Amino acid sequence: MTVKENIANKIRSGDSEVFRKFVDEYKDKAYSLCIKILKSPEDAEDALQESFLKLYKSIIENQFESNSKLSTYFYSIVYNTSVDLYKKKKRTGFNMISIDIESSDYSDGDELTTGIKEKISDYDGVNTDQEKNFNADFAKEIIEEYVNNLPHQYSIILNMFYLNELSHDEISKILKIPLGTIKNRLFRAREKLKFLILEKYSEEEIKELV
Amino acid sequence: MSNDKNIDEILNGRIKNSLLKQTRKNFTDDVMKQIMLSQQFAKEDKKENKVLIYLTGGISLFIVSFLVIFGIANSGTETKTNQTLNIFENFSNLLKENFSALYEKLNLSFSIEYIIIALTIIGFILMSNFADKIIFRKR
Repeated sequence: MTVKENIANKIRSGDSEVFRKFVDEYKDKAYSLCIKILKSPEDAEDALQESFLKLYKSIIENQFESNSKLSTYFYSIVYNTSVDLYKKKKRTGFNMISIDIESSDYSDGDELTTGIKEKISDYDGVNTDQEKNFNADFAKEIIEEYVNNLPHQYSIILNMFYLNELSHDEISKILKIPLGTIKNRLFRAREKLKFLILEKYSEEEIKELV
Repeated sequence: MSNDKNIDEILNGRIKNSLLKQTRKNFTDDVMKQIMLSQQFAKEDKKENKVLIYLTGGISLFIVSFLVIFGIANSGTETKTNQTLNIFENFSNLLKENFSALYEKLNLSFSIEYIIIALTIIGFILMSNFADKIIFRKR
């Protein structure tokens, strides 16, 4: 029996402190996922709170099977609860499939940089030593803006992979989209960011700045 | 190649940091409070259900036994002579006869008004139960 499976058993036996620790460990990572879907901090907190309650209930009522991973199970609850709330609030469907190279009018990777292209082109580069700090901040800002402006079809996958530490396979199961699409989107999102950064900075500068 | 890997690692770390958002300070406390409340409600529901089952069972048992005793006490030679081999028919006849006899003794008549009053009471009980679970507990 693994440590994580033990958590479920401890919670079942009434140890609420174990569940508190689980909430503390996962709340921020899961909140980041909720906010990517719902775009509103209040709605994201509501969805997250509901997700924790659902998780607790399903552990107590033995709906959670101990042979599956608790964190994966939890993230699937978080994703489904957030999507349900999104549909309820916006009264519209939530589409994880819509952006694909074959089906969109974008040239390769254009949809990934809509928000920040102008910002990068406005920046001529800073070469003086006294402005090194500004330079470093700007590099961080580019990455931050790039990540925050990604379409949700990419950002949710990025979130699940980097932050929630789910495998390609787990993400594919939760989102119910093919494994190849998951890998492709992760690769494209990462490569585009690398391309943007390398356009402005040399490899040595990146190591120094970021 | 190793340089490339280095840049990837740097960017991966930076992506992770950029994605992370933080909940408000007392979020965990609020979740735990909600869980305690839901546990409390679940216990109350269990108790309520138990009471409801005992109450319904008790009332049903009382009605049946009352009717049977009342029927036996009132049974004359007429019922005995009319006895058939069909137990179910006998039992339903017994219920019908005794219900009408009971109504006569209590000076009641079987009318639509009594049904409406009974349905209103049942409706009120169901509504208050529903309101408690859906509206008041969400506050």
